[in-house]
Parts: sequence; structure tokens; C-alpha cells
Amino acid sequence: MNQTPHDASETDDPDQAFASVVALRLMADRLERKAVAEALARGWSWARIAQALGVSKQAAHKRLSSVAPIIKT
Amino acid sequence: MLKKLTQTFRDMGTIKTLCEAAERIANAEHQAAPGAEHFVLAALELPDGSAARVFSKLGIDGGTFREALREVHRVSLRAAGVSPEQIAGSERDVPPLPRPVELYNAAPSGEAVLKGLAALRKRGVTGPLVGVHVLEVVSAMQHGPSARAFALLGRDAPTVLAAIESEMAMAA
Repeated sequence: MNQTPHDASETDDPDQAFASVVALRLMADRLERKAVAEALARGWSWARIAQALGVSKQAAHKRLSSVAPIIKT
Repeated sequence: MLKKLTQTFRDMGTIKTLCEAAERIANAEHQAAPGAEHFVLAALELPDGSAARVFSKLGIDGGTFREALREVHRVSLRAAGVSPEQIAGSERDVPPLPRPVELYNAAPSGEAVLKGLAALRKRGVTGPLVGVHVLEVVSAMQHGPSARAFALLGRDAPTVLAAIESEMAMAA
């Protein structure tokens, strides 16, 4: 990530810092779903995905099993 | 007694409509659980039109507010050092969320909206539950995407509250 003078970790404004934290969580959720779709398309197992995410296989499957693999044409 | 019961049933129907719309709007933004800002957008869809009239008084509409919410998200990410290219990449080709099958699940700010609506009667608010009541509950939230979106659009909290109170006075 680019470091800017407005880095949320350096801001004195808690409201801005919290807004950035919330936005980063949402972005992380989106990136996670995209990465899972790509991994499934490459034939990764749920056990491997779970290990890469640092969660249990059950937790990964429960939260992300709706993600379909990316079909590339 | 019958009038109160009828109103309770009608309010339950309105709550159901609000919850379903908020969930649909949140899911379209790749968020599983609707927050207060999604209830604001859902209130604008209610047929009573009171929330839409408040927005009209403020010189904005649902589309403007929705785009302001997206911009709030992007501004918050840029403030954390995320580049515009990374933000755009994260928003592209996101796998859709599944259709909800479990119990209704709102984000904490969405739950606060529902609790606030349930508390309206205790505060002496009469008449049917309408969209402006959602705006009134959300306007009490000092922080969060809705407050930031209104601020981004140049509508400060007193201005928003004045428009809400004006509509509520007409509805009473």
C-alpha cells in the first residue's frame, strides 16, 4: 500500500481512523471472496484455502462456500 | 385496542419491508449484513414517501446519497494509504453473496436502527411507522457512513435534523 501523509495510522482524528478501519475490513472481505474464487478455479482444496487464510476448514467453508470458482473464457 | 393492534400489525409489515430492502441493498454492495446506511436507503423506497420528502428538502436523492456512501468508503481507504487503483481493483469482479437463508442478520448499526424504531412508541410517537422515523433514528448516530455521507454532501447534522423534524411535524 502507498504511504501518504494522511495515513490513518498517523491521523489524530479517531473518527477518520475508525472510518478507515471499517473501510479496510470491507475491502478485505471483497478481496477474500475474489481470492477464494481464483483459488477454487485453480483447483485448491478447502483445506488448503483454510490453511492460507489461517482459519479452520469448517470456518472457511461456512463463511465462503457460496463463492464459485472464476470461469475464465 | 383494535386500532393499536392494527397499527402494530401494520408496523410489523413495514419493518419486514425495511429489513428485506436493507438486506438487498447491502448485498448489492457486497455486504452481508445491512447497516444503518442501508436502512436509510431502504426507507427511501417506502411508499409513504416521507423519507424521500426529507431528502428532497435537503436537495438530494437516493442515488446521490448512495454515491456519497461509496465515496466515503473510497476516501476512508485513501486516508489509510490505499491507492485508487487498488480500490478499483477490489471493487471489480467480486463474487456475489449468497441469498440469505439463515435468521435475519443486521450489522450492529442496523440492529441499533431496529431497536430505535421499536423504542419510538415508548417515546410517545404515534401514527404508523414511516420512512422519516428511520431517518430520525439514524440522525442520532454521530458517527458512521451515513453521518459522513451527509457531511460529504455538505448537509450538516443540524440541517438534516431540521428537515427531519419538519417532516415529522407534518406527519403528526
